[in-house]
Amino acid sequence: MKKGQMEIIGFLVIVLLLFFSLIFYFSFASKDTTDLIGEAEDNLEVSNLLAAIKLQTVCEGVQLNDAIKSCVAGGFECGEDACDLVQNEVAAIVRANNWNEEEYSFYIDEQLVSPEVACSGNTFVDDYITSGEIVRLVYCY
Amino acid sequence: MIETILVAVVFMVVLIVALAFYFKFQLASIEDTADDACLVSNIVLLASVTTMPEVQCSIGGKTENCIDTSKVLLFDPTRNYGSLFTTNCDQKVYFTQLYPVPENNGTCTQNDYPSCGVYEFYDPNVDYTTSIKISTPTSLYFPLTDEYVFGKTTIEVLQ
Repeated sequence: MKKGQMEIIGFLVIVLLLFFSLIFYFSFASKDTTDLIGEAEDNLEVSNLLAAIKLQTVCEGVQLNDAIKSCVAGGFECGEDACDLVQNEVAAIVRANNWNEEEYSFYIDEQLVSPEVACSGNTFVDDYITSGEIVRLVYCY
Repeated sequence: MIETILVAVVFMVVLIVALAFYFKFQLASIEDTADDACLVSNIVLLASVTTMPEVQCSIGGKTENCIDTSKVLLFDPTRNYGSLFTTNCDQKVYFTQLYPVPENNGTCTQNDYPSCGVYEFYDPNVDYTTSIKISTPTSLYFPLTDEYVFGKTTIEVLQ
């Protein structure tokens, strides 16, 4: 083989190596590291869960939002303490939604109406106002 | 002369392999993008399905953020709702009662309503190999008893 041909082969090898290197670079560089779809789902879940909690019927003619209002006023609903009723019903709904106790906090104004959770990760929060108090659902993930 | 032709042949072979590899990678990337686009359009559908007048609660002319089970029950799930669902892939849509737990978990018909668990809204009856389920919490409304129960809206993206 002549010297010129050897040099062409060497050049082609370098070009091909560069080509493969660029393919690998772009394949890894284009990987999106953020899970936007997952975050959109979680955000929607928290928002819709709070909306569903608010509407839930707890006994005849009484919705959970009515019990939350009674809890703020320190009253009773469905024959029991309104705050206890809210805590039990919210816990049952959250369990039905396949969340663990460690994954959520439910607040009426600043009063925690759910098990104490020390959240070390990120959170999604949704809230609404009833009887002048902010009702807040926090999802920890 | 023969050596030059051999070099050219080897080069062409390596180039063809490289191009085949490149286009295979590109095709996989385009398929991933199409799957993502399909999933995103179904998440948008998931967020908006509860506000469709065909199934949304309307009490005294005022709409609420819940699903009227009596409206869903009247739907024929196999009917083509192409104009309602503007997603770019097929999907099943159904609502499931979770709490209180229904007397039976079967699909609802007019005979066993409301003692049933699953309200089918759309099932295109197409062949598929895999599916991805996405769901979101929903309140289900029973107008006969004026009762709201906890459930979920599920979209099964068919692939």
